[in-house]
Amino acid sequence: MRELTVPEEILLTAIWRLKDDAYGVTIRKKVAEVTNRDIAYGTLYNILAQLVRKGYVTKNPGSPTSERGGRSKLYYCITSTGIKALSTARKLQEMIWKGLPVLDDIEE
Amino acid sequence: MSRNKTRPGRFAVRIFEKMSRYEEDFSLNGDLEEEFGERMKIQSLRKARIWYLLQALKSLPSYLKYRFSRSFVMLKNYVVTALRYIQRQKGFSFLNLFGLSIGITCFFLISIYVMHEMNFDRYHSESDRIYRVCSEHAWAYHGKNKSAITPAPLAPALREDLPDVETSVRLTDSSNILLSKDGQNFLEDSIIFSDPEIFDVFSFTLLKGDPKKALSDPYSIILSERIAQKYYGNEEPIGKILRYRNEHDLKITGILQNVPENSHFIPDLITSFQFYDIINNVDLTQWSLSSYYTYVKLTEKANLSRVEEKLQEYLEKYAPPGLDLNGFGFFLQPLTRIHLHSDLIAEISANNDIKNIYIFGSVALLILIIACINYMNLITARASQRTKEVGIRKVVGARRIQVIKQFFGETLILTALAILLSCFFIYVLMPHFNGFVGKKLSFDPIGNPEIILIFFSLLLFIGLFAGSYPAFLMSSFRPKSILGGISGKNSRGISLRNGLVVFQFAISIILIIITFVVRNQLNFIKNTDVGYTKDHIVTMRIQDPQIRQNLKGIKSELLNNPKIQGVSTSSNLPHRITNLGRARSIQGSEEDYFALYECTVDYDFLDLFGIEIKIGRNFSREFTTDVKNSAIINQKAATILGYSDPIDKEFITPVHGGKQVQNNIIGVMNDFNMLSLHQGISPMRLRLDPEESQRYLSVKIEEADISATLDYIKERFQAISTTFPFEYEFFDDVFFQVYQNEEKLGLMFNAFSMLAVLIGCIGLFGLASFSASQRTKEIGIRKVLGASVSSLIFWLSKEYVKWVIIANIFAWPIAYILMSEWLKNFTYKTSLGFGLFFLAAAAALGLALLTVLYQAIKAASANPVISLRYE
Repeated sequence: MRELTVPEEILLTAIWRLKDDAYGVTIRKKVAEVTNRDIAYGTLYNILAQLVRKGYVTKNPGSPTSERGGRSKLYYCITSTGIKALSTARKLQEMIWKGLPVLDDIEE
Repeated sequence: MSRNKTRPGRFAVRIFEKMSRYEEDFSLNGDLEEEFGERMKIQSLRKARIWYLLQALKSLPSYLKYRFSRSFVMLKNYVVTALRYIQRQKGFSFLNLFGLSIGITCFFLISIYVMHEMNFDRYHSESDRIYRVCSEHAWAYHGKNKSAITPAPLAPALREDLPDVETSVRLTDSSNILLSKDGQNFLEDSIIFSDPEIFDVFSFTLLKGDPKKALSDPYSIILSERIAQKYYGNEEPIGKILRYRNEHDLKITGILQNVPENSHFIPDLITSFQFYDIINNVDLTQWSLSSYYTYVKLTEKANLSRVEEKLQEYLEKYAPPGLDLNGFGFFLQPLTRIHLHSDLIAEISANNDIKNIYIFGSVALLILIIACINYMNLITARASQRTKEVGIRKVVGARRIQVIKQFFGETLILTALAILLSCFFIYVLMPHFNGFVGKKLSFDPIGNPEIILIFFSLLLFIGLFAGSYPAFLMSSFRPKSILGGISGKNSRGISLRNGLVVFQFAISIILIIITFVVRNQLNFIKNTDVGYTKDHIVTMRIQDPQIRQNLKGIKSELLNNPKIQGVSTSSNLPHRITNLGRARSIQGSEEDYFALYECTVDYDFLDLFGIEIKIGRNFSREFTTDVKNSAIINQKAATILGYSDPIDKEFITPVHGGKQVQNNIIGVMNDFNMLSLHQGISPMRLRLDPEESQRYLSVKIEEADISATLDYIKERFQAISTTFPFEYEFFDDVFFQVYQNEEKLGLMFNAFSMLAVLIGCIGLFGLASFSASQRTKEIGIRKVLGASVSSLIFWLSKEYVKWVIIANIFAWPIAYILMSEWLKNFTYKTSLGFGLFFLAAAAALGLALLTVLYQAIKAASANPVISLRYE
């Protein structure tokens, strides 16, 4: 199983947090909230497609709403494979960081 | 889109529109809408718009990445589909493959040849700085007034006087060189006499020996690798002695690395310029004798006009006094232009013509285009078979561009396979091609990476060109009409297909006509009455001084043989009289000099060659004054001189040292062609000098027992001397050598027209078989209703025959124009009769019919029961 890339990991955790409400706009907001990073829609959908391809999330279309100009939302839902991938990533993180001092973040 | 207050900027929207992502489009757009709306409320319209625009720009790079990864997925599918199709339709695909292969092979072979020719002399570093100095003069010789030869002191003078000239060299050559090594004789084609600067101007490399010293001793000689190998094998040649023409001993001072074939002169033997002086006793400081080749290498910053000015200076300083300098001069010629663009008097070796390269190139391109057209035809003929496939692809979501890509991909794959097949063909055909063009080209992709480049460009070109029409055609099928149960109509693209057939055959017919015309012209030349006999004459070039001394004795001995009908010596053979002098009538003055060709002969020349005397008499032993001072002129000369009765009149010819000689006319002979039939007849005179005329010995022999007679002649020669090997040529062969170029042209067009027709027939074969298979039901019904097999055959082949006939309409005018142009090269030409055109048409038609007939017969003989079984 290939490791999650960092962007994938970021998105995947955001989707996990959002549970039922993960679609383009909300995912973007969540990521911005958690990591202070602003992803463009282009990149976002790229990575989402990758995640779908790898089987970590599934796509479910919603129903159209008027505020979106008649277009429906595409909901993303994490799968068990996805959760497994996340836990592997977490374990890997711990393994490689074991024993190393915690570095201070620079406050933005 | 009007400027609505609540919409994002138009430009930004357009960017997003361009980035289509198929499934996620709607979601993405919705997301954008949503967030845009939010921002508009929370911040401001302007800020929202800016955000939207920024989003668009930021999304671009990752979108491109996405696109890229996406298309690889489809590629795999296209490759699999293409290969599957090839596998299913093996026969058809192979036909296609074969046709493409032929085109590629042809194109490639010719490209190698063209590249070879166009890269002449680029072996030398700084070849763009090397020039040859040539001369221009006011009088014309064979219609040319420029020559490649210059005076001996020119090269050293240029070197010393001009800083623009980095270095210069003069050289001259000599042919038929006899070299002896320890008593063993070798006859070599040529030797170069040169200054040591030859190694500075040119990049000739000495594998052994010092380029600065190898030529300092006049009695030195440098051998090429080839010759050294031939003479000495593995022994060390340096220091050994070779005997030159049995007269001088030369020491080997160097071994020259083999020079590439594409050089305008190839030095196999080099000796010093001073040696030339020794053996010929010429004054090398004379400016008035132009007989040498001068090459200069200019500095990087050289000013060409300065060099030209200097050349003009030399001209004025050293020209003979009183000579009107109008029309005289020296000029510079770039080295790399010599091989293809130079046609001067006294070229060091025969050059090619850029026109030939253009012809070859165009033919190659034509054949490639025909092959591509073939491919297009074959694929689109089968188009109706694949409508279902295309329909389904479109229904499940393929867009037109994807279908287009699919079919392009198919073409590319087939082309790639065709290229591989061509590699095999090229490898096999290379030796034959070499023999054909008289070169030693090689197919070595590892050594020449340019070859791989050519193949790639071919792949691209053919893929795009041949693949375009099928790709666009196939992708235009509408799923609705296909899957609705209506079978695809066969008439899709039929008119274009037929147009392509016409085009192909028009080209083939043109090529066939060209072949015929060239052949006819060659035959015409062969059989035309040139004014002298060509048959049953054996000629020998006399080089051995011993033979020369004993010629009289040899002559009488030869005449003893009953099979020998005549023997004659002359300075030239009648088909190539190149000695040119000037003459004028007695009453005329300095301005009345005209060019007069000369040939020195013996008493028997006119008889042997069957040249008639119109007025007066032949040279005769009765008149001792005949020797040297009498002249027999041809009718043309008589006309120019203007004497009403030329016999016993005189004309003036200038000789060395400014003197003049009066020549007595004793006879007027029939005009004959003293040069090739490319030119007309010029004024000419014969001079009698049995001793001086001894360059060629011509022997007229009987037809019977030729080899015995030849042996006899050989024995007479070898009885006197065996120094030089005995070599002879038949005069009619020699005569024909002048037309080698045309002969080659004929052969080439022969080959190409056959190829073009072959490709066209391959195409027809495919088309015919396909259309026959489409019509099995129709044929079955017709048969059941009583049609005979022969009428069916006729009906099936009718259509294609019609197109081939139409092709003629286009082909004939073009061929006529081309050939009339070409025939202008000849003063004596055949006619372009209708018969010729009909013959070509018939040939093409016949072949086309044969191809189509096979299919027609097969289809027409099919059992209607089988074809009508499934309804």
